Amino acid sequence: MTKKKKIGQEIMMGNEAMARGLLEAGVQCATSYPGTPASEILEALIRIKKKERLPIFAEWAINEKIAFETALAQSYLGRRAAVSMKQVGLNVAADPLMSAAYIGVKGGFVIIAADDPGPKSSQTEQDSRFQAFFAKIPVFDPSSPLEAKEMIPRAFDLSEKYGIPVLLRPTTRVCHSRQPVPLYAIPEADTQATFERNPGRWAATPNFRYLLHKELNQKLQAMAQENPIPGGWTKADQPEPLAIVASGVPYALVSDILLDAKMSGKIPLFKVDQPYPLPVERMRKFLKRYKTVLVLEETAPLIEMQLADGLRLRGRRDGSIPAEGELTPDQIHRLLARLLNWEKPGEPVAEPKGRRPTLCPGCPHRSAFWAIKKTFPKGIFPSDIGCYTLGMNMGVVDTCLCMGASISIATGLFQGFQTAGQPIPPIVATIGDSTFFHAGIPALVQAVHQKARFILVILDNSTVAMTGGQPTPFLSTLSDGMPAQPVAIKKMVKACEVKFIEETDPYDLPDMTRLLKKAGNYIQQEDSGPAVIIARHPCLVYGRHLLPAEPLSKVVLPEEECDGCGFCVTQFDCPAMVQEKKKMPVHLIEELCVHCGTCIAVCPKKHIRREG
Amino acid sequence: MKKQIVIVGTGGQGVLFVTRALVETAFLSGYPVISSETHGMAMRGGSVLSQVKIGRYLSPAIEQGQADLLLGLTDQEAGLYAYTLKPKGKKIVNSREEGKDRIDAQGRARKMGLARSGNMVFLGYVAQKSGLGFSTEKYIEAITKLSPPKFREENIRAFKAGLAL
Repeated sequence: MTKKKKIGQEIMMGNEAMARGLLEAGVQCATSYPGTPASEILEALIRIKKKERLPIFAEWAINEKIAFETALAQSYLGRRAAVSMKQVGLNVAADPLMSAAYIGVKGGFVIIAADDPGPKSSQTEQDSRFQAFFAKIPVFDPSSPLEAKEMIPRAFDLSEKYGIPVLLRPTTRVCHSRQPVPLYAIPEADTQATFERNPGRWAATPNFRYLLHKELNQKLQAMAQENPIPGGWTKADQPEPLAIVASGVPYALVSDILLDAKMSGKIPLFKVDQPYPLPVERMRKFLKRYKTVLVLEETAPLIEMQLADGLRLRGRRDGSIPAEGELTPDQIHRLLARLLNWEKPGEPVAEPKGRRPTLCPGCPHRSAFWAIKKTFPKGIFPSDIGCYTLGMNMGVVDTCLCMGASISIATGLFQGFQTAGQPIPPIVATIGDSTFFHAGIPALVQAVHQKARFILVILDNSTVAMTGGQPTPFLSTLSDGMPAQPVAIKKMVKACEVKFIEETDPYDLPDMTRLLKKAGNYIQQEDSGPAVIIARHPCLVYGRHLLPAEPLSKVVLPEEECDGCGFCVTQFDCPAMVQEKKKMPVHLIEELCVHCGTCIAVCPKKHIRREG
Repeated sequence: MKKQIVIVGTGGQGVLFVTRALVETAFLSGYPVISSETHGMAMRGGSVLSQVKIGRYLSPAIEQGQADLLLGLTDQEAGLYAYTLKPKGKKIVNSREEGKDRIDAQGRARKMGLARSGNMVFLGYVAQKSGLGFSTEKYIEAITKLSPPKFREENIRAFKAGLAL
């Protein structure tokens, strides 16, 4: 690579910085499926691509496995390719990940999997660095947006040198932090694509895979040798009883604490950029000089486990650090105080429970949930991953496992009741449009094939709202404005051989209720199968352009009429409705109410109405 | 300068925009700065907390009881996160009941026909009361840079109104 020249500096969110880093490293293909905290990586990349008219491929996929495989294919063509996702997305892509590690890559291939210690917006706190360890590929662990950006060209170089996928693992604190980062020119993309036929490699059979595994192990040994004794080493004046080994955000946290305590440079601090593969023997030899070695990393003890032999280690495994949750400066400070006999900081306060998240005012999902709850008060409600998981607040989400599972869970529940010879309660599964494309289709095929009798409501708001409004296959353009073939959910459901398919707008509560009842009757028939209702209404935040622009008359709840029963507040869960104290009249918050009028049917006393 | 700032409120209030404006202002004023913010699930009407550290810091997280400044877009969240503040730290709150360091930015914005920019009225008030010492020009430069063209003028008007309170 030619020497980089700084052309500016800009404040960037970690995800934007990574997007910029990918482009500056000459990426020619970037794919993703949205998921917090990773969504903005591809979003930012597409924004820059459009602005600078870059001839690269950048597009959303319908799930992470497909995002992974299509980017990998471009690496097979000798192009630099990247795929980004959240940690649970890497589970979906685990199958190609494991094989890609064996078969290897040609053009640099970087996988960005963003972890969510805490977790702040995820199903798990899993440590993707262990996925790298499991797959036997190297992993980089950045401690800041700036570092995440700087690690990307290194990751590409390593990937190309060894012909191996490389994982970059930022955490939420990296993805959603902002700081000034230097900008370098984006190189003119090499648009070449060459496929060298080599079935022995690209289509390796099991026998050959054994040899590839052997080769992979050799690569790892070589990479571990190349991985320097962790940098950022601060020399101590005197030998100290304690050394700290830190990686990722915990490195930044401990650095700030040492600086604050005026102990910087007095306690040896190792910074690990690449937690796997580690030069374990050399590190152990070096660390043996210290009585105690404290290992700070997120989320699980990957470095600690690799070093665990012949060293006195403190960290997660001896309980010095909690086994779950984001590592906080408070925890590290208290631990250091204990180990170094510092004055103890005050007792930590338990993080307060803030306001719970809720569906936006006017959210079409709220209306759909309301209709479901009213129609099937004794139903079982499997649901899925997305904004609509918040239907839990309304009591219409009983299960939420992982992408697409609402349909398989509904199938399993039906089969369980049926096998037990028990009456089958109404089962109403809910899934969003993007989640349906992501992992719902195979589940629906199975449900139909096995004649599972439940109602599936596809909550179609025409976007991936939870993560910031990314596109779904329903759109007729690609991210660069080129025409796309829209894929209609209804046809898809039909092709799955579903016999009962209805569509409605959930704002139309009477119609939605009518269809739910009709579907309820349909699944009573012994020989039926799933009944699907597509409840379509654009997201009010990200789909406004899809809505008619006619102004709605104002919705009012005259204070003197409201008797303060609070039914609407507890049952409908609209953030625009507020009751300050029990029995006090409910009022509509002017700035929040969108005058959708879906609450009109909710008030048992009929006090909510349209003005005029 | 070394300043640690916690900003809290609820999703939809513009907490993130206030955070970004403050970060940009610090940057334009020549200080190193790092911040972190809440996204995704927590934003849907739930509590939002962001942290800004101005000066030579590596990590964006603030230790409990170490914030110099707590900016609350709601009374409830300001109360919930009071523990992040230093004993002598300063708290500025957007509240229906006005008082010392308490301003009804949202109500005032509504009266001025700037209902969507209540957060900018609040930021103007903060710029005036916080003692952070950034110049008005830098704030306005930051807001101009970050606002979508459609809201640029309104945001600046709202900020100036807050500054004059």
